[in-house]
Amino acid sequence: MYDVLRRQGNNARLFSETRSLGNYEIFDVSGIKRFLKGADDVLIYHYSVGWSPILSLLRELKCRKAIKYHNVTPAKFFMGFSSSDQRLCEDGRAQLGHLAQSQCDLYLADSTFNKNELVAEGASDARSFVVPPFHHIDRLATITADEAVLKKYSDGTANILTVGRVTPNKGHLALIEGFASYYYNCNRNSRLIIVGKGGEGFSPYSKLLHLAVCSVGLKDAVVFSGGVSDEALKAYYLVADAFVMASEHEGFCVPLVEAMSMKLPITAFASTAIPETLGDAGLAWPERDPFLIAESIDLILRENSVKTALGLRGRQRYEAMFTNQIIESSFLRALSCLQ
Amino acid sequence: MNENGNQALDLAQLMARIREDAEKRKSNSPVDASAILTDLLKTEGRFATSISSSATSLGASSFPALALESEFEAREHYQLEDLLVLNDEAFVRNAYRAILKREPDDSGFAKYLENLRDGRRSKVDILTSLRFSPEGRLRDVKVSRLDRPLLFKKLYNVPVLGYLIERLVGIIRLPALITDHRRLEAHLTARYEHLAAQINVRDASFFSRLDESDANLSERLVKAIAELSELYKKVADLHHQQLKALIREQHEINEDRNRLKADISAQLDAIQDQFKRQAAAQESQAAELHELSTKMDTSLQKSRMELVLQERRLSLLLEEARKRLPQPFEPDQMQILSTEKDHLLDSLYCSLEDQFRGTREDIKEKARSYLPMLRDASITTDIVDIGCGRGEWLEVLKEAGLAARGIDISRVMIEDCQRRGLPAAAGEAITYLRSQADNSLSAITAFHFVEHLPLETLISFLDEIARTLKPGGVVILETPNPENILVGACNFYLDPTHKNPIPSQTMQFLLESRGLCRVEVLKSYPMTSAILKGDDEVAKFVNHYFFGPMDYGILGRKV
Repeated sequence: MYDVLRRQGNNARLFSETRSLGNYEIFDVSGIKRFLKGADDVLIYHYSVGWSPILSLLRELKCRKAIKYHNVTPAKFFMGFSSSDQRLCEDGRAQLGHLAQSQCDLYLADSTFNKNELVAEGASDARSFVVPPFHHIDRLATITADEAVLKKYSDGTANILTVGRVTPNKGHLALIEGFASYYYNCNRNSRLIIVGKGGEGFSPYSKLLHLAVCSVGLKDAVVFSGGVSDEALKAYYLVADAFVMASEHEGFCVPLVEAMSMKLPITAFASTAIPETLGDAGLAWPERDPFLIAESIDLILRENSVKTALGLRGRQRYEAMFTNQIIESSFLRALSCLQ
Repeated sequence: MNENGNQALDLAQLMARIREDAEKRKSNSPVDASAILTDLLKTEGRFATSISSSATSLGASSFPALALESEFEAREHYQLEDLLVLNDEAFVRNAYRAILKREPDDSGFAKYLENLRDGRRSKVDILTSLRFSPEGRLRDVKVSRLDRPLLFKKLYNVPVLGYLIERLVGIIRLPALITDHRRLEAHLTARYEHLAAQINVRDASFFSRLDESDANLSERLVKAIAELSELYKKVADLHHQQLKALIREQHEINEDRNRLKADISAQLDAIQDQFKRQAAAQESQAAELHELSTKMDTSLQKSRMELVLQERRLSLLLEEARKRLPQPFEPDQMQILSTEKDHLLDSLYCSLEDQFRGTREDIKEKARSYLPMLRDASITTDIVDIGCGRGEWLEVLKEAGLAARGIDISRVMIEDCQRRGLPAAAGEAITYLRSQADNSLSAITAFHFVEHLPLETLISFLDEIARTLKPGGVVILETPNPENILVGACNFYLDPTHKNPIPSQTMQFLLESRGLCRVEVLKSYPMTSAILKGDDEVAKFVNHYFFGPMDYGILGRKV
């Protein structure tokens, strides 16, 4: 988004309290007021967790304001696992109404699902636009895949992949249960690779997942990669035979788009924004039944025509709806409403 | 694959198929991962109703997290003590919340916590650092008395003077530090008590829950035990059936084995029987053979005897024929002549006997050695002693209870015998025997008789013996033993009526040749008085030829 704005000849700056973001220059949030002085300036607030200063900022700033809503994970998922995350989400959810009603000039939602939430909370439908999140699929296409990962997992064993932060809303237990069913009923020569930050086994949730994997006897068949480089991520997509998404709450789900771009056959639980993102490019199950996931994987891996057809559909959907160019044009179209 | 392939893929149909497969799989999946994971969540204290259903219940522990620090209260203005009263993680977290009005980020949180724990930075240092960071300045939260430490910190950085000021401030602050320390101590004590109280509350709650669940549990336990016992019964039944089957099988095997054993032993018996039959047959054949050979022997002996009798008849016939020739004397005259001639030397012979034969008792003693031979042949009657002399042998026989009679040509001797009450009669031996019927005598004995006979008469005598003896009867003859040189060269001739000494071999030959069998030579009466001592050849030779038996007996049997 930053790049797009710069390309459009804007003086764009990134502000954050803590985050560092690749090679981009990050400014401290304390500098926002000084930076956004003109009435034509635009603040785009990426909203996904609670951050109390935003409300006063919105009040104080005289510039135009846009809220990019990535959705806020319901705090209930973190209950008992992380009180800080729980609090962040609670705060975030609590701010939704305020933000929706803050008469911002523009509401950019990752998905229709998100847009509906905003509108339901009082945001103007006319000023709300669906703009999928920008992604780094173009970068993935140009980099070289991590050879160690490629070598390690190109061993003839079927690789079932899921990608995403390892947090309690991602439905990993159901995924493990589904994979266990597939492993024991259909194919012992298979493994589940869980790629994502937080899977290292340090957090209480991650610890629970490791314990769960052990208790169903799949210690050697389930891999938690933890956070990985883009090169390694590309390698995981390349060695995967199928992609699974068991998440219970997604505002958009970028990994689905990545998987579609990599022509991976996908099966998922059709929760929140997932069916919208996946469309007809995968097998999305309305009921959270792990056996459906298991049998979907089985069918995909057994019938090559299904695997190929689903992969192709994914790629076509990606090309039709979610390339950065398309997202950029949606974004610019939405921005043009500010004029 | 292309657009066409894509169109060919009917998602709805595919999903219907998968749904069907999943339903089938549910009913016969070998691993119930859902149950395992649900159990896991329960034991982990996360009371999830189901893994796959919404995670709302996930991690919804019935207890709030155990908290050592009091909950943070968000305000716009703080006293330094408000923040310093907290410790460790709670201090860092609440410092963020108070000063930066947000949750700590992971790296910052970890960094400050580490500094705090290893004593590199004090709480005041951390608060200062947060408060006067760009973000802190933006937030501009008021924390009273926090500006002073910053001032001091700046002063400490002045060279030399800074050091002295730091020391001085240290000394001045000492009472305050002690107060702080006491406060911390009190705080910690309070926290510990709080902790203990919380544990107690949880304990009480836990045990009350335990009581509640006890009833539930016991009900489930009873049910489980019932199920278990049912299962146990089933297992026992199965076990019992298997055992029965096993026993039946074993029984059948045993029967088979016994049948086989019986078969084998029957066959063995048959083979043994066959052997026995064969052995019996062989035995009977051997017995038959033996009988046959005995019969052959007997018939041979009979034939020999027959031959002897034929010879005798022939000689009688010849004698008769000679009588038919012109004769010088009348037969009666001839008879008288011959008889009387025989008796001419009677008294002389008696005197000779008395002179050389030895005492009566000596003779009887020597004669007793022949008794066992009669006993062995079971002979008790029909015993004839030819040439009985003074009747020593007759007396031995009479004493032994055997019925015998004596014949002697000497009337003097006969008188002597009759005087002694012994059954003896005068008579000529050959004549007497010729007067006896065939096979009529059990035993014929003749002591020192045969050496008085010419060869022809001796043959006739033996022939008569052979004729008159019953089958199984015995003949015992005794005569001087010429093998003893003294006897052969001298003693034999002490009796001038002796004709020729007969060596035992000759005697044995004569007996056998006249049809007697199983002839035994009995060397009797060895001279014990003059025997040479020693084991050398000379002694042996001398003892044999000079001191050997003076008489020998010979025993013949009729078949």
